[in-house]
Amino acid sequence: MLSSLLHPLRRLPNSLSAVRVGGLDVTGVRWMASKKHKRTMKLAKGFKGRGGKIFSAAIQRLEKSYQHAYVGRKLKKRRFKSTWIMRLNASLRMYGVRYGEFIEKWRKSDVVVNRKVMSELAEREPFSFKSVVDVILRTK
Amino acid sequence: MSFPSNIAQRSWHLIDASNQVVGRLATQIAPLLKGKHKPTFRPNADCGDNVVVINAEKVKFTGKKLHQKLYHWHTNYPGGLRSRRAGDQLARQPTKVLRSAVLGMLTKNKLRHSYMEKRLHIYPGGEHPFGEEVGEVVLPRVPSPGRRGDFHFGLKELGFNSVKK
Repeated sequence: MLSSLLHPLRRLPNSLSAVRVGGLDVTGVRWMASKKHKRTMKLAKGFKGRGGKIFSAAIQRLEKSYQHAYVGRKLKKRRFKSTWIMRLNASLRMYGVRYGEFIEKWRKSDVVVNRKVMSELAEREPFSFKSVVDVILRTK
Repeated sequence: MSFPSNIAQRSWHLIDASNQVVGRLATQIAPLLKGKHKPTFRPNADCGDNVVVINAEKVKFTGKKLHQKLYHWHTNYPGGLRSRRAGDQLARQPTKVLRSAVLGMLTKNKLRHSYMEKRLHIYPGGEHPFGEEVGEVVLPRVPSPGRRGDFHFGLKELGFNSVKK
């Protein structure tokens, strides 16, 4: 019975007792055919259907996930810029300015602050935001 | 950073739709439901507001749309494409005219189906059941004069008042 307590698949509270394979902690992962399988299945956790359980399906889903991740890294940059602009538009319209009119003055001015920081200021530091907006609106 | 819906500040907007052009009014309502008027806007979170519209049966269509604009729907039976003119739709189901206009301007996703649609309350008459929390009529805004409205090539000062806008 003592040996079953020490079985490598049993979850032990101490992280030092984690079962490591190839540097990865595979505690709780199914016991598999080879170390390569174990490494790969760890990456495919949470995938739909057989893609999360069966190695041959998992490698296909993983290939797709790498493609999605590659495209997603580029899309993320576009989407965040779009969200910052939407937030800035909303904040500026509260002061009676539109984003389109504002960006023209912003470009001409010396203010180097970017859209990301401006939108965060607008959310959390409204007074600082207003002061930067005033500086920008005063540029010729 | 998570933004759970239960900490969102939701306000109420009261809109009087009498004598307003349907589409132009809907352009002002849709961003309120989506939350795009807030600096804390998140596209993935439900951060919109509640909107109450009164006098929806008094909306207007420009041009000949009352007789020419058609609302279509399909009954899922073969050959079941039905159409109805805007004027008839206004007579039969007045709230549906404004409702379909606003919902057509919102993104078609789960957020809209589950939350935004339910926050849009349209009433044909001047009464709404929500009491005081709704507040005063705040919309519709007077549209700001765009370049198209005021641009006259400097001819107005010279006296050419009949310049077409």
